[in-house]
Amino acid sequence: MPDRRVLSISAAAWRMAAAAMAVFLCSIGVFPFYWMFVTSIRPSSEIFEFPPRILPSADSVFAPYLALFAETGLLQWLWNSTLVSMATAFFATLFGAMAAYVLSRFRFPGREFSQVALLVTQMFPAILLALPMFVFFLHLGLLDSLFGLSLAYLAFLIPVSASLLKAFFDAIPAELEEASLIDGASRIGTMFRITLPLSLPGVASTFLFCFIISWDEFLFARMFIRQPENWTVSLGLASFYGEFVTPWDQVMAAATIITLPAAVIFLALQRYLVRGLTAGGIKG
Amino acid sequence: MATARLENVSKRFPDHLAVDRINLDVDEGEFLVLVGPSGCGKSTTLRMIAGLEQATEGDIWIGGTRVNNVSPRHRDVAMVFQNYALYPNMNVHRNLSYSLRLRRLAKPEIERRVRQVADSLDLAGLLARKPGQLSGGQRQRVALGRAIIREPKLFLMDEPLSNLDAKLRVQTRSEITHLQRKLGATTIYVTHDQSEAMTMGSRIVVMKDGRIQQIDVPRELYRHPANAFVAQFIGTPPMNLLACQLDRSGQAGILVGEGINVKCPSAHLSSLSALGDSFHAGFRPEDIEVSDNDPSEGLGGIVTTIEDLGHESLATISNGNAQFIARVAPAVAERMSLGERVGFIVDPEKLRYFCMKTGAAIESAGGDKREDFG
Repeated sequence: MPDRRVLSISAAAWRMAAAAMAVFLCSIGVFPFYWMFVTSIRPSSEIFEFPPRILPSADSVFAPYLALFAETGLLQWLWNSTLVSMATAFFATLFGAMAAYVLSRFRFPGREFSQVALLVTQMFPAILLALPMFVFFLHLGLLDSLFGLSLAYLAFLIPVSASLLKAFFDAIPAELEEASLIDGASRIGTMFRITLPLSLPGVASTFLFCFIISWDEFLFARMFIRQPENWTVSLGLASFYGEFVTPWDQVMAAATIITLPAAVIFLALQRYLVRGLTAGGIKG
Repeated sequence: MATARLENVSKRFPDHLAVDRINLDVDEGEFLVLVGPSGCGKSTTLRMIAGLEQATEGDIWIGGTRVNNVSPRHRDVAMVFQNYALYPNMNVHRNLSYSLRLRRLAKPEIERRVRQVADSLDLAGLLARKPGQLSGGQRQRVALGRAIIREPKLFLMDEPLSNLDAKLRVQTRSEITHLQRKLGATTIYVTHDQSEAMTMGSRIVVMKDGRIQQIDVPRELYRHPANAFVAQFIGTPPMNLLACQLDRSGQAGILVGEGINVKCPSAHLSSLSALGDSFHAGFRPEDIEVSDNDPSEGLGGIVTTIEDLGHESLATISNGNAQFIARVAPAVAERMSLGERVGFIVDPEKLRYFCMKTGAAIESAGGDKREDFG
């Protein structure tokens, strides 16, 4: 059977090529993070060396990390960002889920329009939303408060979350909910007992998306927050850029620390991102 | 267990009328089957009884209470879905106990009922499994168990067997019938499969285009179909219908048409006059026998196909545009050859007559004209 052997050899070659491709693509993704970390521990004299050295320096220093915690408000900024991002992600997912459920399951006049409206809100540049919001928040006394910042984030994240989750709810067979309704659950009970657990991958990815958007956000934070003790990490990081000097080792160290919480959340939610939870409930 | 009653119930969707003013009475402990082709409104009817669809008009009663405005969870009905609709995130135990937990029953009582149902449906070993780890038949039993554990007033089943393979279907069919008798549970069962309807139902409702065509016990439905649609829908193969006219030139009336030349019993003559010039004469494939007479007498035509089913054979006979099927013994079929001209005799008393225009049946003998639900 020479044909078969040739086939299996070429199949193996394909697999090798695919694996090499995967490694290559991953390294493109991972390299900036690696470079960020390596730069953060390089002595400042070596940072602008040319040609650059790929491997960490033999004289690696962790002083920038210590300096960050001792001399800047990084801990406070981290806490502020965690607060804002967690609250935003939680409420954006919760309210988004409710809106998505209604759009997915009920037929009512204006349903199509609402769906289009959700999308339309995403088409304007953020600054267009930020300006009127600034005036609005000024009058409400919501400027320079983390609560206000969260509200601002929710305003543009709830529509995104609703659109994302609707697609997940649409994929859940209506019979499962009907069975639950007949079994004695209310609509809202059915949503929390059946629909949401079955769309955990969707809920998790929506939560993650909202978290990362609010964690990274700069424009709204810059406009709405004044006092350094209310800064989020992105504002804090920006404050390192000096007119004459920028301490690149500290910028990179801060960036490394700021990346960690998002990575931790991602790893924690990763297993829910795996699809296929609904397999088997419905024949087909 | 309770009765159920539908009075002039209609369901209109934006683009079509799914159910058109139907009336239905389901007795306590009865196994009522709704049968009809797809799109006939049988599932919509069931969903209205369950409360999953709102009736556009009419009243629905369960156990003497009007339930039109009662939510599904307060109607005390249980439903088995075509695709089982088991909760994939819960194991078999939690699927079975879901409704009991929602009703906040005491834990020991829940355990007792789960055990009892699991034992009776042979699910005891599967309680910890998730639906994805079960075979089709096992999922089917869990779906049944989830319904019976509730001890509801009414069981609703929406084509619960259509996803099973043929062998399992026949087996589950008798299991469901047995279970229903044992529990004495009032059951409304929807299917598109007439043989399922005939074997399971204590009464059958035949539906078409949102209307009830006939409600009767299986035997009567088979013997005395109310119209041509029921005649052809019930029975495999269906009732043969031949277009013919009544020739009164001789002393006796003769039914004449393509493939048919049969003396009409005198008792039929008066009722036939109501049908006008042309009508359909109907007979079941088993009501005719091969005869040695001249093929132009009685029924006759050319053999076009012979299907051997082992214990019997089905011969298709064509004559011009007319065609009918004869159920014959294998030995008889062996003597037939394709293209051969064959004659049959029919017992005239077993002939049924249907109006060409409306399809409604005229009862041939005894004057027990049946109601036409169409």
